[in-house]
Amino acid sequence: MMSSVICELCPRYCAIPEGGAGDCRVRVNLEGKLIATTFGRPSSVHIDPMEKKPLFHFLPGSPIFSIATAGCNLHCKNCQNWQLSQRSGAEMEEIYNAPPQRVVATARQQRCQSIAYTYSEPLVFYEYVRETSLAAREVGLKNVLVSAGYVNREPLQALSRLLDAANVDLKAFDDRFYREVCGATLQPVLDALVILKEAGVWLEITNLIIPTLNDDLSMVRRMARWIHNELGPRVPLHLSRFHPQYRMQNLPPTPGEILIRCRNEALEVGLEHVYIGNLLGNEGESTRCPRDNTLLIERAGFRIQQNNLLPGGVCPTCQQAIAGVWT
Amino acid sequence: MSTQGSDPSREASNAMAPDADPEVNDPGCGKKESRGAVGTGNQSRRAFLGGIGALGLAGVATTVTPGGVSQGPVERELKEADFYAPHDLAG
Repeated sequence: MMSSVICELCPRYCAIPEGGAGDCRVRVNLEGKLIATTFGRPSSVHIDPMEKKPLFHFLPGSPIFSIATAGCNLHCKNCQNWQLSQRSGAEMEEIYNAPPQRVVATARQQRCQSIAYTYSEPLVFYEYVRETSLAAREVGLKNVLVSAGYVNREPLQALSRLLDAANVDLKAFDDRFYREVCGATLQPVLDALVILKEAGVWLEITNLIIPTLNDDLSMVRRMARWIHNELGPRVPLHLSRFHPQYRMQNLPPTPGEILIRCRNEALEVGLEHVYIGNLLGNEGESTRCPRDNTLLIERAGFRIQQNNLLPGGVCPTCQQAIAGVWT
Repeated sequence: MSTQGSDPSREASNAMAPDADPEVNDPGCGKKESRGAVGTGNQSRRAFLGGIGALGLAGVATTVTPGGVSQGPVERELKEADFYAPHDLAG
């Protein structure tokens, strides 16, 4: 008799036949047991600036030890990391032997204060994230999740207790977009954002603006209003520029003018910090005080040009405390 | 370290080291077993992916490509990584 397993990690609830894999390619049924095949076996390990995640209000300017394994439970046509995300571990060119304790020890050796679970979809290597986060916490390192947030409530709530910050990719404020472009649905992502916020995890949101698909200003307005009302005006929003990738080579890079309009729309709704990403040399790269517009952190790409915040993240002009984790 | 020509049992032992237990046992994302095969449209694809996933876990993977059978991933120690190598991965 064949024994199938249902993976309850994400809303797909994959029924995995014996010897088979879930939709993510990396969670498999071996002899009736659900196995996370990429546990301790990342394929990408880098040290990035925190601003690359992007996190602009969390330990700015610090290096973050960043790991990813193969696999993802979304299949976005525009994926920027498809060589990693749309493959199984066995299809990688390289795999590192990196159990949790070794990741933590190496991050410390490299003088990183934090570890990011990122690049592909860390939630499909959930157990690896959890065990590494536990080990990191024990020695005072911070844990950062960079995710699409397509996960079930219970596992995310459990993981949230170990997380310090997260950047969640809100791909569009439109369920149809999620179904047609990503092969997923919107509501679980919105739920995930609320869960992370309620858990006290420092939260920033990225929305990749793709010409003609999700650049409608009314959609941006609805998204910004939802963020404002459900998460609060102090949650930073990063509007990123699309570049043709993977199975979406037919659209041009997002014009800078569109990004600026989208940013203005979100600011008008009342969000205090709306950034523009992947577009060098624009006003939307820097942090300003929402009360008096003082330039607080000037950035050029992932680099910090000047940081005028007072200790504790306070505006030097009006003494307003800026939301974030600054030290 | 390349997996080519290496002892499969040793590779499997590395993959299943005590500090690298990959079995999913957390109630939050755990498993429900149901007896009997569950047929889905993706079953054959999942079976294929599961097969190569299992081989990868054992460290003896080969990848089937249109050109034939190619080498699986090269396993490296973490200290061998060039952490600051330029890369363009998002996130």
